[in-house]
Amino acid sequence: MTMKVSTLFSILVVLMMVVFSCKKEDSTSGNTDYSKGVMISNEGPYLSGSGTVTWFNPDTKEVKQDIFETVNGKPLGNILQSMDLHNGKVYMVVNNAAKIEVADASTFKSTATITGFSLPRYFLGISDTKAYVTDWANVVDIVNLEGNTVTGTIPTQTGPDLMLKSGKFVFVLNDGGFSVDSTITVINSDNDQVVKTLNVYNRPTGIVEDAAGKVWVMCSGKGYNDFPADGDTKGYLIRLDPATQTIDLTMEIGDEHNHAEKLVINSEKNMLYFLFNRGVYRLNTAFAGAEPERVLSHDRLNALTYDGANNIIYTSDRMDFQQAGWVLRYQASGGALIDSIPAGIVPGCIVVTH
Amino acid sequence: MKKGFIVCLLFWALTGLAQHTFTDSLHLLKPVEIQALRLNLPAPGAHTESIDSAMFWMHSNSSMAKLISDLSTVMVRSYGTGGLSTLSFRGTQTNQSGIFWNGFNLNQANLGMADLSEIPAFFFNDVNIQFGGSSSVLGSGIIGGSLQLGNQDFFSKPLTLTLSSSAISFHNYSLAFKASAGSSKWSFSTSFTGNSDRNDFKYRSLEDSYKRLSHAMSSGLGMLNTLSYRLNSAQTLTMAVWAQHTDKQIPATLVMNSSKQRQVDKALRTSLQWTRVSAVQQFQVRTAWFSESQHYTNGLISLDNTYRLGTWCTEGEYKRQFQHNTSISAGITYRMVKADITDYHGKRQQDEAALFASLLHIWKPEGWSSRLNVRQDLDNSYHIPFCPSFGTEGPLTGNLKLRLLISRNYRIPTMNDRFWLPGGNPDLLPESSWNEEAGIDWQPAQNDRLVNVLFRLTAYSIQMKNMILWEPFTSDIWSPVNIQEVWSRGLESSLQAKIDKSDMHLLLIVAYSYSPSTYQGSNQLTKAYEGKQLIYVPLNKANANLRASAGKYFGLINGSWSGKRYVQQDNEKALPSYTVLNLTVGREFISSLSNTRLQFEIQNLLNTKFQAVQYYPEPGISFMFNLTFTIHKNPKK
Repeated sequence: MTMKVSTLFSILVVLMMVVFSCKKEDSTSGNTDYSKGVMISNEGPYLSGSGTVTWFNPDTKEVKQDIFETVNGKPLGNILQSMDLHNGKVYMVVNNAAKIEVADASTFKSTATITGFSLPRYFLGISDTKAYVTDWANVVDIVNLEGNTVTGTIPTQTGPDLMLKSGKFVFVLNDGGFSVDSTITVINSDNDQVVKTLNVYNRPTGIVEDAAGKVWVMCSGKGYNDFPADGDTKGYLIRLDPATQTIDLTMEIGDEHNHAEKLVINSEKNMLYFLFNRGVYRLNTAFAGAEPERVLSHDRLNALTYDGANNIIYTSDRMDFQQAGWVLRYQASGGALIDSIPAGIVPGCIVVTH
Repeated sequence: MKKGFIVCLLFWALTGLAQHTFTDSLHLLKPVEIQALRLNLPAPGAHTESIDSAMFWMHSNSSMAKLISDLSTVMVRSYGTGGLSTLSFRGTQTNQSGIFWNGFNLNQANLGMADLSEIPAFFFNDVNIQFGGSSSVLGSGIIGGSLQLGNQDFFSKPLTLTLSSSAISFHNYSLAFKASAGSSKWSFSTSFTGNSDRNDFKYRSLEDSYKRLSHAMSSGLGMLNTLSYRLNSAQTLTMAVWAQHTDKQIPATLVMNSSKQRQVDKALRTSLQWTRVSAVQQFQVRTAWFSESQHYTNGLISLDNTYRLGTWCTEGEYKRQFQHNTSISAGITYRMVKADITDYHGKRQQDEAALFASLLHIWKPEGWSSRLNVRQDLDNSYHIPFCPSFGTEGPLTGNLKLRLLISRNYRIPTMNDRFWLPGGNPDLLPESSWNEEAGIDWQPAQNDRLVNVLFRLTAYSIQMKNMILWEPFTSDIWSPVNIQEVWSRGLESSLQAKIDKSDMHLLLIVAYSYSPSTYQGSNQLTKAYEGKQLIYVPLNKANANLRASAGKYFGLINGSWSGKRYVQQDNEKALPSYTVLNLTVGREFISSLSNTRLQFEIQNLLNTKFQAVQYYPEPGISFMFNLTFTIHKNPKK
């Protein structure tokens, strides 16, 4: 009987090892020129997920999800904050992974990974060899694009975010990061020195340059939409003269509990578009001071991009931050919905190429 | 105020009743467990599971997270080795189950859950698992199931000293000591555990290269003392003190480059219990005070958060038996939580009180037993539904037993759900569910057979309403709302075969569960979830344990297989299935005074690359060595 028990034991051991050692594998591949079309960066699930990039062809309506991982076999990393095109390359700023993934814009094959950041936010190409990256370590990181290394930092105020280059000057919006700031750091990109720190209104979140060379900044104000709290402040749209770096026009937008965000401009650079009051509003730069006009209505809007070649507004519905969101395309003139493109989780940045 | 008065009145009435009824108590001594009376009653109809004691001792140097994950069919959601580990029963959420220590709920009121990775298995000698809802007995949050951790007393037991140490190949070391003794009057035990873990195991990165985990160090110290004293032949006083300190770095996930997260948890848990026992009656008053805190920092984003919780729980319970086949119990419970949490912007308090009663009847001579439980919570903040449950079980044939159970259950919102600023929602309704289950136990008559077999099959259904989900209002503000309806249903099966032949023992336990758990009701925003499987709930799960011992040698093979798990609520992405196999072998050296056990374990024998939670690395093949030395003053051998 002892023999029988040990035989039974051996059979069971072998059986368990066989049953528990099955595996499955699969693979996918694709062949597309990604530099022609629309690239959408999706932040990804907040805590432990990875950001993704969706690609859309407006002519054929073809949509491809998660193209970075499909091409390179690895995920981008936690929270894809933003994305920009520069010199035929895509720079994907992965915030919580403290890195920038660089890929060829046509093939999307990874060409480099730039590290050395703390909490990178936005990328701005300065020249063929240099770029600036805002970093919530309260600096702008200077990146050498030949070696793909961080070569230095420029101090800013709290929570540097979006940037705009006007001539040799770079305007850095300090929105406060995890708190609230109200300043703009002006950097001379020739020598990487801070020229001036401008005091503006609470939480500057959008910046564009108009046809006259004036710089417009959306200051959203302190507070969150739908969650009124003591100490909330109004938002303001301001205009700067880049030559003198002074504010030459100020107008109120919303009130203490209704905050406008983002700011883009049309191809003629005379019409401002921004997110406000559960929709998109516009304002002609020539009629500053007039009431902004509602273009379209939609809840949960997140991204905002203007396609100047086709006069189309691209925006995104981030849904509930846990399921895949949508990119919505509207006619800029009448605000009619053209179509909806399925994207990834929290579509946050849309780059249109032609 | 009015409700408080009623609570006091009932408590006083119950105490008075006990004083009268115990004047004629019989001088019979019964074993007293450090446990609520209602938990000592049988629970007919319920699917329960207890951990095999020999397997338990092979895992006694582990955390409760590893023990439950390896040895039970309950799913443990683990955020990497040493990371947050929580229970998930029958496709429910992690805050829809309870972990109880001697009958007191360990779930923290701010989170609605407790971290199993910070509970040393070494402290406990009684671990039971009950599947299914039991809010009618245990209160809020017990929708999926509960884990009961207990400390038995040591009355009339000899002095026993145990020293145990272990080392794991990724530089994790632990040491544990326990002393216990008892006389006819006194029972005493003291246990200490300490661990220093580097967790610097190699893992395969997403680029398929091997890396060593960094910023994952963890250290812990724990102490648990129990002291019981028999005041006389009927009355026993029991005190327990449990202190736990954990300081751990939280490593980067696979999609992060680095981490500067650190978490320090401190807990002091004390309890005092007075029990009066007679042949037909028992009366018990018990109280517990928990002081718990957590300090979390994240150097990357300059985040520094602290929370402190003070929880006081007290209950009185009376049980009486009639004619040897009927017993009733009734009681009252009150729990107060004081929270000082950075994001509440001030101190908050939550009070919970409830009345409960049970009736147990054994239908002779058929052998069926039935139990009815009722519970009504008295809460100023919510309307909590009246919660009944009814369970029955008994033989259909000589070898086949039928189990049936129906219960109504609820979960009140956590304090974070109510008070977090910004986003907390004070207007939330409690979650509620109706649970139904039916099962059969088939056990062929043993007679003189070599193999003793038990097969169990349970089908269940849980219809949940008002499930609380945090929804975004803006990109920065999330707020909880009663948005979801979830239907969890499924099958649980297990086969246990035991062979005992002279000094050879073989135990095989194989279990499989099928757990569809899907979102039901939906609005415009959540229509993508309709009919989709809940995240991290595998549809199929199986595990097997084979324990063998021959003379002084013993071994254990433990295997678990988890099916595909979705990581997005729209089911667009999933983690692949995985299998983990562990092998333990050891030898005992027994003398008249001592027992020495040497044990060697190969963890993840197949070197499986897997993620229990997406992008959290898990160790590949690794090795553990354990040495346990026990001295008995009066060994019985």
